[in-house]
Amino acid sequence: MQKNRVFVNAYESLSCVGNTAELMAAIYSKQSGITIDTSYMSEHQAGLGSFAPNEFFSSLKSVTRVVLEKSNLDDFSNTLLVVGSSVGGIGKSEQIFFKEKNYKNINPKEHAISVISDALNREFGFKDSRSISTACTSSANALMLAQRLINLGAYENVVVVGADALCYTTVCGFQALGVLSTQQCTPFQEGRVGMNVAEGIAALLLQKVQTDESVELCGSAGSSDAFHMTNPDPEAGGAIACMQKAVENAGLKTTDIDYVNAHGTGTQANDAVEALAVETLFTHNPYLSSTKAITGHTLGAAGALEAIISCEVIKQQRIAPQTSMSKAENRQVNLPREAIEQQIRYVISNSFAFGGNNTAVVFGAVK
Amino acid sequence: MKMNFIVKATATVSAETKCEELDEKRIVPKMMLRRRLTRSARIMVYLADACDFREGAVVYGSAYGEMQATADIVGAIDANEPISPTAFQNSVYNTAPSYFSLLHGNKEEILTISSGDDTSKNVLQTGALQAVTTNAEVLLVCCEAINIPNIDEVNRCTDYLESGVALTLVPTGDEANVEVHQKEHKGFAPSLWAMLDVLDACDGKDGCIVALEL
Repeated sequence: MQKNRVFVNAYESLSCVGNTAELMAAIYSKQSGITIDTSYMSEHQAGLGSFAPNEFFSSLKSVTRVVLEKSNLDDFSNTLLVVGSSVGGIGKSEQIFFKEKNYKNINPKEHAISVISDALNREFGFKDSRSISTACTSSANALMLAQRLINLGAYENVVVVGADALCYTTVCGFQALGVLSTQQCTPFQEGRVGMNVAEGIAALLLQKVQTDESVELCGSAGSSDAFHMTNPDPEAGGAIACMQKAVENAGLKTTDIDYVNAHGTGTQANDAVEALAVETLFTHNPYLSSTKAITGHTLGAAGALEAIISCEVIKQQRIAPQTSMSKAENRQVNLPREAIEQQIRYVISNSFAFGGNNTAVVFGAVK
Repeated sequence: MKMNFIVKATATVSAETKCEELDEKRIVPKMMLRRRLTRSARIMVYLADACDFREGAVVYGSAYGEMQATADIVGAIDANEPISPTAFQNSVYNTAPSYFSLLHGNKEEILTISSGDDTSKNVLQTGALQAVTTNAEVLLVCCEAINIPNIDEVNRCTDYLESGVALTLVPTGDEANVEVHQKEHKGFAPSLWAMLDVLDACDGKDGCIVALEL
Protein backbone atom coordinates (compact mmCIF):
# COMPACT_ATOMS: atom_id res chain seq x y z
CA MET A 1 0.00 0.00 0.00
CA GLN A 2 1.27 3.47 -0.95
CA LYS A 3 1.78 5.49 2.22
CA ASN A 4 0.89 9.16 2.39
CA ARG A 5 3.76 11.42 3.41
CA VAL A 6 3.27 13.41 6.62
CA PHE A 7 4.18 17.08 6.90
CA VAL A 8 4.48 19.27 9.97
CA ASN A 9 2.95 22.49 8.68
CA ALA A 10 2.41 24.69 11.75
CA TYR A 11 3.33 24.65 15.40
CA GLU A 12 3.56 26.72 18.57
CA SER A 13 4.64 26.10 22.13
CA LEU A 14 4.85 27.56 25.60
CA SER A 15 7.51 26.57 28.09
CA CYS A 16 9.38 28.23 30.93
CA VAL A 17 11.37 30.25 28.38
CA GLY A 18 8.33 31.49 26.49
CA ASN A 19 6.94 30.81 23.02
CA THR A 20 8.70 28.93 20.23
CA ALA A 21 10.70 31.91 18.98
CA GLU A 22 11.83 32.65 22.54
CA LEU A 23 12.55 28.97 23.10
CA MET A 24 14.92 28.72 20.15
CA ALA A 25 16.63 31.98 21.10
CA ALA A 26 17.15 30.58 24.61
CA ILE A 27 18.48 27.26 23.28
CA TYR A 28 20.98 28.87 20.91
CA SER A 29 22.14 31.41 23.50
CA LYS A 30 22.17 28.73 26.25
CA GLN A 31 19.86 30.67 28.58
CA SER A 32 18.01 28.25 30.83
CA GLY A 33 14.48 28.97 32.02
CA ILE A 34 14.87 26.87 35.16
CA THR A 35 14.35 28.62 38.49
CA ILE A 36 15.16 27.37 41.97
CA ASP A 37 11.91 26.85 43.81
CA THR A 38 10.65 25.85 47.25
CA SER A 39 6.92 26.37 46.71
CA TYR A 40 6.16 22.67 46.24
CA MET A 41 8.50 21.39 48.96
CA SER A 42 9.23 23.91 51.69
CA GLU A 43 12.15 21.87 53.05
CA HIS A 44 13.77 21.12 49.70
CA GLN A 45 14.98 23.26 46.83
CA ALA A 46 14.17 22.06 43.35
CA GLY A 47 15.04 23.37 39.93
CA LEU A 48 11.68 23.74 38.17
CA GLY A 49 10.44 25.12 34.86
CA SER A 50 7.27 27.20 35.22
CA PHE A 51 5.47 29.41 32.73
CA ALA A 52 3.56 31.28 35.45
CA PRO A 53 1.83 33.70 35.52
CA ASN A 54 0.34 32.21 32.34
CA GLU A 55 -2.62 30.03 33.38
CA PHE A 56 -2.52 26.46 32.03
CA PHE A 57 -5.90 26.07 30.32
CA SER A 58 -6.04 29.55 28.82
CA SER A 59 -2.48 29.02 27.56
CA LEU A 60 -3.51 25.65 26.12
CA LYS A 61 -6.18 27.34 24.04
CA SER A 62 -3.92 30.25 23.06
CA VAL A 63 -1.13 27.97 21.84
CA THR A 64 -3.58 25.87 19.82
CA ARG A 65 -5.19 28.99 18.37
CA VAL A 66 -1.80 30.19 17.13
CA VAL A 67 -1.40 26.88 15.28
CA LEU A 68 -4.81 27.38 13.63
CA GLU A 69 -3.85 30.94 12.66
CA LYS A 70 -0.55 29.74 11.16
CA SER A 71 -2.28 26.92 9.26
CA ASN A 72 -4.01 26.68 5.89
CA LEU A 73 -7.27 25.70 7.66
CA ASP A 74 -10.30 27.87 8.42
CA ASP A 75 -11.15 25.74 11.45
CA PHE A 76 -10.49 22.30 12.94
CA SER A 77 -13.84 20.74 11.99
CA ASN A 78 -12.13 18.23 9.67
CA THR A 79 -9.15 17.65 11.96
CA LEU A 80 -8.39 14.93 14.50
CA LEU A 81 -6.98 16.02 17.85
CA VAL A 82 -4.50 13.69 19.55
CA VAL A 83 -3.42 14.79 23.02
CA GLY A 84 -0.45 13.46 24.96
CA SER A 85 -0.41 14.17 28.70
CA SER A 86 0.82 12.41 31.80
CA VAL A 87 -1.04 14.31 34.53
CA GLY A 88 -4.19 15.73 32.92
CA GLY A 89 -6.24 17.53 35.55
CA ILE A 90 -4.62 16.16 38.69
CA GLY A 91 -3.40 19.60 39.76
CA LYS A 92 -6.97 20.80 40.31
CA SER A 93 -7.85 17.61 42.22
CA GLU A 94 -4.82 18.18 44.47
CA GLN A 95 -5.91 21.71 45.29
CA ILE A 96 -9.43 20.59 46.22
CA PHE A 97 -8.21 17.67 48.32
CA PHE A 98 -5.59 19.72 50.17
CA LYS A 99 -8.23 22.30 51.04
CA GLU A 100 -11.25 20.10 51.79
CA LYS A 101 -9.59 16.80 52.86
CA ASN A 102 -12.10 14.78 50.87
CA TYR A 103 -13.02 14.01 47.24
CA LYS A 104 -16.58 15.36 47.27
CA ASN A 105 -16.00 18.38 45.07
CA ILE A 106 -13.58 16.73 42.68
CA ASN A 107 -15.17 16.39 39.25
CA PRO A 108 -13.87 13.09 37.78
CA LYS A 109 -14.03 14.54 34.26
CA GLU A 110 -11.78 17.42 35.33
CA HIS A 111 -9.37 15.02 37.06
CA ALA A 112 -8.85 12.74 34.07
CA ILE A 113 -6.30 13.05 31.25
CA SER A 114 -9.18 13.82 28.88
CA VAL A 115 -9.78 17.20 30.56
CA ILE A 116 -7.29 18.61 28.04
CA SER A 117 -9.01 17.26 24.91
CA ASP A 118 -12.40 18.22 26.39
CA ALA A 119 -11.24 21.83 26.79
CA LEU A 120 -9.83 21.97 23.26
CA ASN A 121 -12.92 20.31 21.76
CA ARG A 122 -15.17 22.88 23.41
CA GLU A 123 -13.03 25.72 22.07
CA PHE A 124 -12.29 24.48 18.54
CA GLY A 125 -14.80 21.74 17.66
CA PHE A 126 -12.39 19.08 16.40
CA LYS A 127 -13.83 16.29 14.24
CA ASP A 128 -12.74 13.71 16.81
CA SER A 129 -10.14 13.36 19.52
CA ARG A 130 -8.02 10.85 21.42
CA SER A 131 -5.80 11.13 24.46
CA ILE A 132 -2.64 9.14 25.06
CA SER A 133 -1.03 8.82 28.46
CA THR A 134 2.21 6.87 28.54
CA ALA A 135 3.99 9.12 31.05
CA CYS A 136 6.95 10.94 29.46
CA THR A 137 6.43 9.45 25.99
CA SER A 138 2.79 10.58 25.82
CA SER A 139 3.06 13.22 23.12
CA ALA A 140 5.81 11.39 21.21
CA ASN A 141 3.37 8.50 20.98
CA ALA A 142 0.66 10.97 19.92
CA LEU A 143 2.92 11.99 17.03
CA MET A 144 3.52 8.35 16.14
CA LEU A 145 -0.22 7.65 16.14
CA ALA A 146 -0.88 10.74 14.00
CA GLN A 147 1.79 9.75 11.49
CA ARG A 148 0.29 6.29 11.07
CA LEU A 149 -3.24 7.63 10.62
CA ILE A 150 -2.13 10.04 7.89
CA ASN A 151 0.13 7.38 6.29
CA LEU A 152 -2.91 5.12 5.89
CA GLY A 153 -5.26 7.88 4.74
CA ALA A 154 -7.57 7.71 7.75
CA TYR A 155 -7.11 11.46 8.30
CA GLU A 156 -5.62 14.33 6.29
CA ASN A 157 -5.20 16.76 9.20
CA VAL A 158 -4.16 15.89 12.75
CA VAL A 159 -3.31 18.32 15.54
CA VAL A 160 -1.02 16.82 18.17
CA VAL A 161 -0.96 18.58 21.52
CA GLY A 162 1.44 17.71 24.32
CA ALA A 163 0.49 19.39 27.58
CA ASP A 164 1.41 18.98 31.23
CA ALA A 165 1.22 21.44 34.11
CA LEU A 166 3.40 21.46 37.20
CA CYS A 167 1.74 19.80 40.18
CA TYR A 168 2.63 18.47 43.61
CA THR A 169 2.31 14.83 42.54
CA THR A 170 5.05 15.01 39.94
CA VAL A 171 7.41 17.38 41.77
CA CYS A 172 7.19 15.49 45.07
CA GLY A 173 7.07 12.13 43.29
CA PHE A 174 10.34 12.65 41.45
CA GLN A 175 11.82 13.92 44.73
CA ALA A 176 10.76 10.61 46.32
CA LEU A 177 12.64 8.77 43.59
CA GLY A 178 15.73 10.83 44.45
CA VAL A 179 16.20 12.16 40.92
CA LEU A 180 15.33 15.87 41.31
CA SER A 181 18.16 18.35 40.91
CA THR A 182 18.31 21.32 43.26
CA GLN A 183 19.90 23.31 40.45
CA GLN A 184 19.59 23.62 36.68
CA CYS A 185 20.03 20.10 35.30
CA THR A 186 23.21 19.14 33.46
CA PRO A 187 22.43 16.45 30.87
CA PHE A 188 25.31 14.15 29.90
CA GLN A 189 27.65 15.89 32.37
CA GLU A 190 29.96 13.74 34.45
CA GLY A 191 28.63 13.70 38.02
CA ARG A 192 25.21 15.11 37.10
CA VAL A 193 22.70 15.05 39.95
CA GLY A 194 19.24 14.87 38.40
CA MET A 195 16.39 16.40 36.47
CA ASN A 196 14.17 19.50 36.52
CA VAL A 197 10.40 18.97 36.41
CA ALA A 198 8.72 21.56 34.19
CA GLU A 199 5.47 22.45 32.52
CA GLY A 200 4.92 22.83 28.84
CA ILE A 201 2.39 23.02 26.04
CA ALA A 202 3.25 22.18 22.45
CA ALA A 203 0.90 21.88 19.48
CA LEU A 204 1.72 20.73 15.94
CA LEU A 205 -0.46 20.47 12.83
CA LEU A 206 0.39 17.37 10.80
CA GLN A 207 -1.04 17.13 7.30
CA LYS A 208 -1.02 15.07 4.15
CA VAL A 209 -0.45 18.20 2.07
CA GLN A 210 2.93 19.89 1.75
CA THR A 211 3.34 23.66 2.17
CA ASP A 212 6.22 26.09 1.88
CA GLU A 213 6.75 25.83 5.64
CA SER A 214 6.73 22.01 5.83
CA VAL A 215 9.13 19.79 7.70
CA GLU A 216 8.52 16.10 7.06
CA LEU A 217 7.69 13.65 9.83
CA CYS A 218 9.48 10.77 8.15
CA GLY A 219 9.26 7.94 10.65
CA SER A 220 8.57 6.82 14.18
CA ALA A 221 8.61 3.70 16.30
CA GLY A 222 8.22 2.49 19.84
CA SER A 223 9.55 -0.31 22.00
CA SER A 224 9.39 -1.61 25.54
CA ASP A 225 12.40 -2.33 27.73
CA ALA A 226 10.65 -5.12 29.70
CA PHE A 227 13.34 -4.46 32.29
CA HIS A 228 12.20 -2.27 35.22
CA MET A 229 9.40 0.20 35.98
CA THR A 230 11.67 3.24 36.34
CA ASN A 231 15.24 2.25 35.48
CA PRO A 232 16.18 1.84 31.83
CA ASP A 233 17.76 -1.33 30.47
CA PRO A 234 21.49 -0.72 31.16
CA GLU A 235 22.37 -2.38 27.86
CA ALA A 236 20.11 0.16 26.11
CA GLY A 237 18.26 -2.52 24.17
CA GLY A 238 14.90 -0.72 24.20
CA ALA A 239 16.37 2.68 23.29
CA ILE A 240 18.39 1.20 20.42
CA ALA A 241 15.41 -0.80 19.17
CA CYS A 242 13.04 2.17 18.96
CA MET A 243 15.62 4.42 17.26
CA GLN A 244 16.57 1.68 14.78
CA LYS A 245 12.93 0.98 13.94
CA ALA A 246 12.14 4.69 13.58
CA VAL A 247 15.02 5.14 11.12
CA GLU A 248 13.82 2.07 9.19
CA ASN A 249 10.25 3.37 9.24
CA ALA A 250 11.56 6.58 7.68
CA GLY A 251 13.24 4.57 4.91
CA LEU A 252 16.64 5.84 6.00
CA LYS A 253 20.01 4.50 7.12
CA THR A 254 21.40 5.41 10.52
CA THR A 255 24.15 7.39 8.77
CA ASP A 256 21.48 9.74 7.39
CA ILE A 257 20.83 11.18 10.87
CA ASP A 258 22.65 14.49 11.42
CA TYR A 259 21.43 15.34 14.90
CA VAL A 260 19.92 13.44 17.84
CA ASN A 261 17.62 15.51 20.05
CA ALA A 262 18.04 13.51 23.23
CA HIS A 263 15.54 12.64 25.91
CA GLY A 264 18.47 13.69 28.13
CA THR A 265 16.77 14.28 31.46
CA GLY A 266 19.94 14.79 33.45
CA THR A 267 19.46 11.71 35.61
CA GLN A 268 22.35 9.31 36.01
CA ALA A 269 20.47 6.34 34.60
CA ASN A 270 18.77 7.94 31.59
CA ASP A 271 21.72 9.83 30.18
CA ALA A 272 24.22 6.98 30.55
CA VAL A 273 21.90 4.56 28.76
CA GLU A 274 20.87 7.04 26.06
CA ALA A 275 24.48 7.99 25.31
CA LEU A 276 25.33 4.29 25.07
CA ALA A 277 22.39 3.75 22.69
CA VAL A 278 23.43 6.66 20.45
CA GLU A 279 27.08 5.58 20.52
CA THR A 280 26.12 2.01 19.60
CA LEU A 281 23.60 2.73 16.85
CA PHE A 282 24.98 5.86 15.21
CA THR A 283 28.59 4.92 14.53
CA HIS A 284 29.09 8.00 12.29
CA ASN A 285 28.93 10.12 15.46
CA PRO A 286 26.14 12.64 14.77
CA TYR A 287 25.65 15.60 17.09
CA LEU A 288 23.67 14.83 20.25
CA SER A 289 22.20 17.28 22.74
CA SER A 290 19.41 17.60 25.29
CA THR A 291 17.40 20.81 25.39
CA LYS A 292 16.03 19.94 28.84
CA ALA A 293 18.82 22.06 30.33
CA ILE A 294 16.81 24.98 28.91
CA THR A 295 13.19 23.84 29.30
CA GLY A 296 13.36 21.25 32.05
CA HIS A 297 11.50 17.98 31.59
CA THR A 298 7.97 18.81 30.51
CA LEU A 299 6.90 15.15 31.03
CA GLY A 300 4.01 14.25 28.73
CA ALA A 301 4.55 17.43 26.70
CA ALA A 302 8.24 16.74 26.08
CA GLY A 303 7.86 14.68 22.91
CA ALA A 304 5.79 17.38 21.19
CA LEU A 305 7.94 20.25 22.50
CA GLU A 306 11.12 18.56 21.31
CA ALA A 307 9.48 17.74 17.98
CA ILE A 308 9.07 21.49 17.51
CA ILE A 309 12.71 22.02 18.48
CA SER A 310 13.72 19.35 15.96
CA CYS A 311 11.70 21.08 13.22
CA GLU A 312 13.32 24.42 14.09
CA VAL A 313 16.81 22.87 14.00
CA ILE A 314 16.04 21.66 10.47
CA LYS A 315 14.53 24.99 9.37
CA GLN A 316 17.38 27.04 10.81
CA GLN A 317 20.03 24.46 9.77
CA ARG A 318 21.57 24.98 13.17
CA ILE A 319 22.38 22.29 15.75
CA ALA A 320 21.18 22.95 19.33
CA PRO A 321 24.14 23.16 21.72
CA GLN A 322 24.44 21.19 24.94
CA THR A 323 23.93 23.72 27.72
CA SER A 324 25.41 23.26 31.19
CA MET A 325 28.03 20.70 30.35
CA SER A 326 31.70 21.19 31.05
CA LYS A 327 32.89 17.57 31.14
CA ALA A 328 30.99 14.84 29.34
CA GLU A 329 30.56 11.48 31.04
CA ASN A 330 30.59 9.60 27.73
CA ARG A 331 33.40 10.89 25.51
CA GLN A 332 32.33 8.72 22.57
CA VAL A 333 29.25 10.82 21.76
CA ASN A 334 29.41 14.14 19.94
CA LEU A 335 28.02 16.80 22.30
CA PRO A 336 28.26 20.30 20.74
CA ARG A 337 29.31 23.02 23.19
CA GLU A 338 28.00 25.79 20.94
CA ALA A 339 25.37 26.09 18.22
CA ILE A 340 26.70 24.72 14.93
CA GLU A 341 25.54 25.76 11.48
CA GLN A 342 25.70 22.94 8.98
CA GLN A 343 23.54 21.05 6.52
CA ILE A 344 20.92 19.13 8.52
CA ARG A 345 18.87 16.62 6.58
CA TYR A 346 17.41 14.42 9.29
CA VAL A 347 16.90 14.70 13.05
CA ILE A 348 15.78 11.97 15.44
CA SER A 349 14.05 12.94 18.69
CA ASN A 350 13.93 10.49 21.60
CA SER A 351 11.42 10.09 24.41
CA PHE A 352 11.67 7.51 27.19
CA ALA A 353 9.21 6.87 30.02
CA PHE A 354 8.34 4.93 33.14
CA GLY A 355 7.49 1.34 32.39
CA GLY A 356 10.35 1.18 29.88
CA ASN A 357 8.21 2.86 27.23
CA ASN A 358 10.45 4.19 24.42
CA THR A 359 9.56 6.24 21.34
CA ALA A 360 11.68 7.85 18.64
CA VAL A 361 10.48 10.22 15.90
CA VAL A 362 12.43 11.18 12.77
CA PHE A 363 12.04 14.56 11.05
CA GLY A 364 13.53 15.62 7.73
CA ALA A 365 14.02 18.61 5.49
CA VAL A 366 11.47 18.39 2.68
CA LYS A 367 12.88 17.19 -0.64
CA MET B 1 -11.72 4.54 7.36
CA LYS B 2 -12.98 1.08 8.33
CA MET B 3 -11.04 -2.18 8.12
CA ASN B 4 -11.88 -5.74 9.12
CA PHE B 5 -10.40 -7.72 11.98
CA ILE B 6 -10.70 -11.22 13.37
CA VAL B 7 -11.53 -11.15 17.08
CA LYS B 8 -9.44 -14.10 18.18
CA ALA B 9 -10.04 -14.03 21.92
CA THR B 10 -12.14 -12.16 24.44
CA ALA B 11 -12.29 -11.91 28.23
CA THR B 12 -13.99 -9.84 30.86
CA VAL B 13 -14.03 -9.58 34.63
CA SER B 14 -15.89 -7.40 37.12
CA ALA B 15 -16.77 -7.15 40.79
CA GLU B 16 -18.74 -4.72 42.89
CA THR B 17 -15.71 -4.22 45.12
CA LYS B 18 -12.72 -6.48 44.36
CA CYS B 19 -12.07 -9.18 41.75
CA GLU B 20 -11.04 -12.14 43.88
CA GLU B 21 -10.15 -14.94 41.46
CA LEU B 22 -7.39 -13.43 39.38
CA ASP B 23 -5.10 -16.49 39.63
CA GLU B 24 -2.13 -14.27 40.43
CA LYS B 25 0.15 -16.97 41.89
CA ARG B 26 0.06 -18.99 38.69
CA ILE B 27 0.20 -16.04 36.28
CA VAL B 28 2.86 -14.08 38.21
CA PRO B 29 4.99 -16.73 39.94
CA LYS B 30 7.70 -14.29 41.08
CA MET B 31 6.58 -13.01 44.48
CA MET B 32 8.54 -9.75 44.33
CA LEU B 33 6.91 -8.78 41.06
CA ARG B 34 3.47 -9.97 42.19
CA ARG B 35 3.64 -7.83 45.34
CA ARG B 36 4.28 -4.68 43.31
CA LEU B 37 1.34 -5.11 40.94
CA THR B 38 -1.44 -2.55 41.16
CA ARG B 39 -5.05 -3.71 41.05
CA SER B 40 -5.25 -2.62 37.40
CA ALA B 41 -2.11 -4.59 36.62
CA ARG B 42 -3.55 -7.72 38.28
CA ILE B 43 -6.71 -7.40 36.21
CA MET B 44 -4.70 -6.71 33.04
CA VAL B 45 -2.42 -9.76 33.36
CA TYR B 46 -5.44 -11.92 34.22
CA LEU B 47 -7.31 -10.78 31.11
CA ALA B 48 -4.22 -11.17 28.90
CA ASP B 49 -3.78 -14.71 30.24
CA ALA B 50 -7.42 -15.47 29.53
CA CYS B 51 -6.80 -14.30 25.94
CA ASP B 52 -3.65 -16.48 25.81
CA PHE B 53 -1.60 -13.43 24.80
CA ARG B 54 2.01 -13.00 25.91
CA GLU B 55 3.87 -11.20 23.15
CA GLY B 56 2.94 -8.44 20.73
CA ALA B 57 1.74 -4.85 20.64
CA VAL B 58 -0.60 -3.82 23.45
CA VAL B 59 -3.16 -1.03 23.59
CA TYR B 60 -4.43 -0.37 27.08
CA GLY B 61 -7.10 2.06 28.19
CA SER B 62 -8.35 3.57 31.42
CA ALA B 63 -10.34 6.73 31.99
CA TYR B 64 -9.09 7.24 35.53
CA GLY B 65 -5.77 5.38 35.68
CA GLU B 66 -4.10 4.21 38.85
CA MET B 67 -6.45 5.64 41.47
CA GLN B 68 -4.94 3.96 44.54
CA ALA B 69 -1.40 5.11 43.78
CA THR B 70 -2.63 8.62 43.02
CA ALA B 71 -4.65 8.76 46.25
CA ASP B 72 -1.67 7.45 48.24
CA ILE B 73 0.61 10.16 46.84
CA VAL B 74 -1.80 13.05 47.35
CA GLY B 75 -2.65 11.78 50.84
CA ALA B 76 1.03 11.58 51.78
CA ILE B 77 1.72 15.10 50.52
CA ASP B 78 -1.26 16.44 52.44
CA ALA B 79 -0.11 14.67 55.62
CA ASN B 80 3.47 15.85 55.09
CA GLU B 81 4.60 12.23 55.02
CA PRO B 82 7.16 10.63 52.70
CA ILE B 83 5.83 9.49 49.32
CA SER B 84 6.39 5.84 48.51
CA PRO B 85 8.64 5.61 45.43
CA THR B 86 6.66 2.52 44.44
CA ALA B 87 3.41 4.50 44.61
CA PHE B 88 4.89 7.14 42.33
CA GLN B 89 6.23 4.68 39.77
CA ASN B 90 2.85 2.92 39.87
CA SER B 91 0.87 6.12 39.36
CA VAL B 92 1.35 6.50 35.60
CA TYR B 93 -1.44 5.39 33.25
CA ASN B 94 0.79 2.84 31.49
CA THR B 95 1.59 0.99 34.73
CA ALA B 96 -0.58 -2.07 34.05
CA PRO B 97 0.66 -2.86 30.52
CA SER B 98 4.23 -2.14 31.63
CA TYR B 99 3.96 -4.83 34.30
CA PHE B 100 2.57 -7.11 31.58
CA SER B 101 5.70 -6.44 29.49
CA LEU B 102 7.93 -7.09 32.52
CA LEU B 103 6.12 -10.33 33.27
CA HIS B 104 6.47 -11.78 29.80
CA GLY B 105 9.60 -10.02 28.52
CA ASN B 106 7.41 -8.42 25.85
CA LYS B 107 9.42 -5.69 24.08
CA GLU B 108 6.75 -4.60 21.61
CA GLU B 109 4.98 -1.21 21.57
CA ILE B 110 2.61 -0.25 24.36
CA LEU B 111 0.11 2.58 23.92
CA THR B 112 -2.21 3.75 26.68
CA ILE B 113 -5.40 5.64 25.93
CA SER B 114 -7.31 7.77 28.41
CA SER B 115 -10.22 9.47 26.66
CA GLY B 116 -12.88 9.64 29.34
CA ASP B 117 -16.12 7.87 28.40
CA ASP B 118 -14.69 7.29 24.89
CA THR B 119 -11.70 5.36 26.21
CA SER B 120 -12.59 1.89 24.93
CA LYS B 121 -13.88 3.32 21.64
CA ASN B 122 -10.45 4.90 21.16
CA VAL B 123 -8.71 1.72 22.34
CA LEU B 124 -10.55 -0.16 19.57
CA GLN B 125 -9.54 2.45 16.99
CA THR B 126 -5.93 2.53 18.14
CA GLY B 127 -5.74 -1.25 18.47
CA ALA B 128 -7.06 -1.60 14.93
CA LEU B 129 -4.39 0.85 13.72
CA GLN B 130 -1.67 -1.07 15.55
CA ALA B 131 -2.88 -4.38 14.12
CA VAL B 132 -2.73 -2.95 10.59
CA THR B 133 0.68 -1.36 11.28
CA THR B 134 2.24 -4.52 12.71
CA ASN B 135 0.15 -6.98 10.63
CA ALA B 136 0.00 -9.16 13.73
CA GLU B 137 -2.25 -10.00 16.65
CA VAL B 138 -2.68 -7.07 19.06
CA LEU B 139 -4.01 -7.17 22.62
CA LEU B 140 -6.57 -4.55 23.66
CA VAL B 141 -7.43 -4.13 27.34
CA CYS B 142 -9.64 -1.58 29.05
CA CYS B 143 -9.78 -1.49 32.83
CA GLU B 144 -11.11 0.64 35.68
CA ALA B 145 -9.96 -0.11 39.23
CA ILE B 146 -11.38 2.56 41.52
CA ASN B 147 -11.86 0.58 44.73
CA ILE B 148 -10.21 3.09 47.04
CA PRO B 149 -11.42 4.40 50.40
CA ASN B 150 -14.15 7.05 50.09
CA ILE B 151 -14.58 6.59 46.35
CA ASP B 152 -18.32 6.84 46.90
CA GLU B 153 -17.74 10.58 47.39
CA VAL B 154 -17.16 10.90 43.63
CA ASN B 155 -18.19 7.66 41.93
CA ARG B 156 -21.29 8.26 39.80
CA CYS B 157 -20.33 6.10 36.83
CA THR B 158 -20.16 2.44 37.82
CA ASP B 159 -21.54 -0.25 40.11
CA TYR B 160 -18.33 -2.24 39.63
CA LEU B 161 -15.34 -0.73 41.41
CA GLU B 162 -13.14 -3.19 39.53
CA SER B 163 -13.83 -4.15 35.94
CA GLY B 164 -11.95 -4.98 32.79
CA VAL B 165 -12.47 -6.16 29.25
CA ALA B 166 -9.96 -7.56 26.75
CA LEU B 167 -9.84 -8.84 23.20
CA THR B 168 -7.23 -9.60 20.57
CA LEU B 169 -7.43 -8.42 16.97
CA VAL B 170 -5.83 -9.73 13.80
CA PRO B 171 -6.26 -7.86 10.50
CA THR B 172 -8.03 -9.76 7.73
CA GLY B 173 -9.11 -9.22 4.14
CA ASP B 174 -12.29 -11.22 4.75
CA GLU B 175 -15.70 -9.60 5.11
CA ALA B 176 -17.16 -8.76 8.51
CA ASN B 177 -19.59 -11.45 9.68
CA VAL B 178 -21.09 -9.73 12.71
CA GLU B 179 -22.44 -6.26 13.34
CA VAL B 180 -21.48 -4.34 16.45
CA HIS B 181 -24.35 -2.45 18.07
CA GLN B 182 -23.85 0.31 20.61
CA LYS B 183 -25.74 -0.10 23.84
CA GLU B 184 -25.70 0.83 27.49
CA HIS B 185 -23.93 -1.76 29.64
CA LYS B 186 -25.69 -1.17 32.91
CA GLY B 187 -23.42 -1.07 35.92
CA PHE B 188 -20.17 -0.79 33.91
CA ALA B 189 -18.23 2.43 33.53
CA PRO B 190 -19.00 4.02 30.13
CA SER B 191 -15.28 3.93 29.37
CA LEU B 192 -15.64 0.15 28.83
CA TRP B 193 -18.84 0.12 26.78
CA ALA B 194 -17.49 0.13 23.21
CA MET B 195 -15.32 -2.93 23.85
CA LEU B 196 -18.19 -4.64 25.64
CA ASP B 197 -20.26 -4.00 22.49
CA VAL B 198 -17.70 -6.02 20.50
CA LEU B 199 -17.73 -8.81 23.08
CA ASP B 200 -21.51 -8.97 22.86
CA ALA B 201 -21.38 -9.13 19.05
CA CYS B 202 -18.83 -11.96 19.13
CA ASP B 203 -20.35 -13.84 22.05
CA GLY B 204 -19.83 -17.57 21.45
CA LYS B 205 -19.01 -17.15 17.75
CA ASP B 206 -15.83 -18.69 16.33
CA GLY B 207 -14.14 -16.74 13.56
CA CYS B 208 -15.88 -13.52 14.49
CA ILE B 209 -14.89 -10.71 12.08
CA VAL B 210 -15.75 -7.10 12.86
CA ALA B 211 -15.35 -3.87 10.91
CA LEU B 212 -13.59 -1.23 12.99
CA GLU B 213 -12.93 2.44 12.40
CA LEU B 214 -9.24 3.42 12.50
